[in-house]
Amino acid sequence: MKNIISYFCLAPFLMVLASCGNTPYLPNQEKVLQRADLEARIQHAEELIQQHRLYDALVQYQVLNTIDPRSTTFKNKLAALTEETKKKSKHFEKLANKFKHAGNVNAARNALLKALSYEPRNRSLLHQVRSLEQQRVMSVQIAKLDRIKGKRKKTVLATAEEKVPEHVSDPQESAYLEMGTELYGEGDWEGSVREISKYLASNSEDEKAQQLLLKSLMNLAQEQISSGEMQIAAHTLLKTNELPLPNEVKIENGIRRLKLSLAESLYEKGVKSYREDLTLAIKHLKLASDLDPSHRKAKIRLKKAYQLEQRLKSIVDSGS
Amino acid sequence: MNIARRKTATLHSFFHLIAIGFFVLAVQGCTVLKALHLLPEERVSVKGKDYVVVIAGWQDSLESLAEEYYGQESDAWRIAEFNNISEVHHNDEIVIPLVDPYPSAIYSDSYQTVPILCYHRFGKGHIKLSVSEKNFQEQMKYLYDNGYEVISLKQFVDFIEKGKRVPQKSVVITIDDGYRSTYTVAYPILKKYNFPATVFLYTDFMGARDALKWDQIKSMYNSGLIDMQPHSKSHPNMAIQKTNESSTDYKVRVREEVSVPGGHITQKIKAPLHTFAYPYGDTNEEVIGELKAKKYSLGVTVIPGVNSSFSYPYMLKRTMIFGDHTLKQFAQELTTSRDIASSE
Repeated sequence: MKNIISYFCLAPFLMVLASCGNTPYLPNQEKVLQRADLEARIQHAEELIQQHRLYDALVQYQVLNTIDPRSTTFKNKLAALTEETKKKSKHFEKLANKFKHAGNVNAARNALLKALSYEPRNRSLLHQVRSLEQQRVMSVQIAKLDRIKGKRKKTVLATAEEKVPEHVSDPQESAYLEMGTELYGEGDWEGSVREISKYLASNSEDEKAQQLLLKSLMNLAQEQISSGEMQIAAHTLLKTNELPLPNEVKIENGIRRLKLSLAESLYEKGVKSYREDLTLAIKHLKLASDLDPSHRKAKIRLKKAYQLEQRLKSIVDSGS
Repeated sequence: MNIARRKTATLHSFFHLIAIGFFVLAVQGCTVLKALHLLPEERVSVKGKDYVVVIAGWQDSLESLAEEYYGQESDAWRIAEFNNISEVHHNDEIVIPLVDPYPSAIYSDSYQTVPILCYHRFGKGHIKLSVSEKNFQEQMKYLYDNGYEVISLKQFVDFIEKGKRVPQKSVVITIDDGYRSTYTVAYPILKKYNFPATVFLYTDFMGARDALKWDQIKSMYNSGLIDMQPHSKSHPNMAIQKTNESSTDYKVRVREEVSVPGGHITQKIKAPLHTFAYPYGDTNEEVIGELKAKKYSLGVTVIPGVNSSFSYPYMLKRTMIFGDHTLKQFAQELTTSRDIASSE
């Protein structure tokens, strides 16, 4: 009786086992072949041929050949399409060369792209079209640089007080000036100096921007002096030397006053540090002398400091 | 006793036969059920040199197939694109290309283009270089809602160098200079949409009042979403030799402007360097030569336009996004395909 029960238990188990299993054994290739819709894919490939999309058709026949590698029809189609796409690619490559020789870069590029569309894995074609792209983009760049260099040569006078000058054509450059002006309005002198300087890098003759930069530099130096950053302030003020004179007397006087008072403070600092830290003293005196070239005492002290530094150096050298 | 044993043995054999009968019936039954599509069939596949053809099983999805054949789910788009499908259904015939048949994304009458967007500052909408938070949010939402794939610049490097294609509607986001608003305004929005971006830093700016701090840079970089690449040391126009500057001095200056920011970035956050953004977007043979010597893969300009697999890698075009751009203008910049015949 026990056996009977155990057999009846075994049967459903076997049923479950069988339902989990596959259909009667067939190699994968056959199973795919059985279930794949070959007709639809062939029809699609043929439609592509009708539309002259030979490479796309070739891809479809490659897939068909993967599904049924024994089919001679697929193999023959593949061979024919491979040959045809190569022929087309060669034709467009030749055409591209003709256009290149005639100096028609755009047409040459389009012909090469057409060649590549028939042979997308052809690296040589890709390199050829990339080289044409390099020529195209480089010519745009050279034209821009010539424009900038040209601008540098001629003096362009800005007209309206708060407007971006009309000659500014590059959107990024004009944006830097706009931003610098905005930051100036907000009292962000550091930001204003930075952005206007960026603009002036390509528009160095723009007087309006130069004047705004002078004002920003003056205000920034004032702020730095107030927070005790004497050396930094000196460097900020020295940047005004690279710009033309301010056209507002108020600004001109303001910058001059700042330079003189800072030169005096730095001279005093230089004298103080002369005995303790000669390197620091030289730094201070040099800045004082640069800020106020008429500061005779600073010049004399600086000369002495250099001489002393030289003597100390030779002592150290002879000692070693 | 023997008769009893024999009876039992006969009975055993009988039940053996019944069990085997059940088994055969079960197998047959399943075949019939399967033929009637009442039971899900397993996946079957055949692998060739360049393609795998799969008849999808009930458990297959684009992601699972991508994971199996490409090693990463994120490549699911490649299968979707090749088969022109958005999802896998049981019994679908799916072709998985093992070798990309279109590595340059050049097709019979068109080719793929990738716009690289270029931002600067965020937060104030009334000046050109500053895009307001609201506008940036709207622009990112537009990309998200309209099926654009924001890819990293590194992915674009692989596309241009190795022919590793990127999704059809790919867009790259870059942010120049390293303003602090990149962290305070743009980063949270990029995180929300999981959009990668590359920030180009000019290192003399670091430490300024409105510049990014290194801990902010680190935090963004470590998120895996934001890459950091150099944008020169002091933001000069590297393509222009200064008046009274000797050729030797110019070369030294170019070398310094390329190597110093790269050095800072690798030292501070250990980011591998691959792309250099030219200040003002300007470059020349000297600068490009320096980038090649330092093994950079790409250089980005601000020449407006889009890029393709055949773009010159050291002069990629970028689209500047300004504060006064409307959403319509923004959308017009997102060209991701061009006809061969009509392309300039």
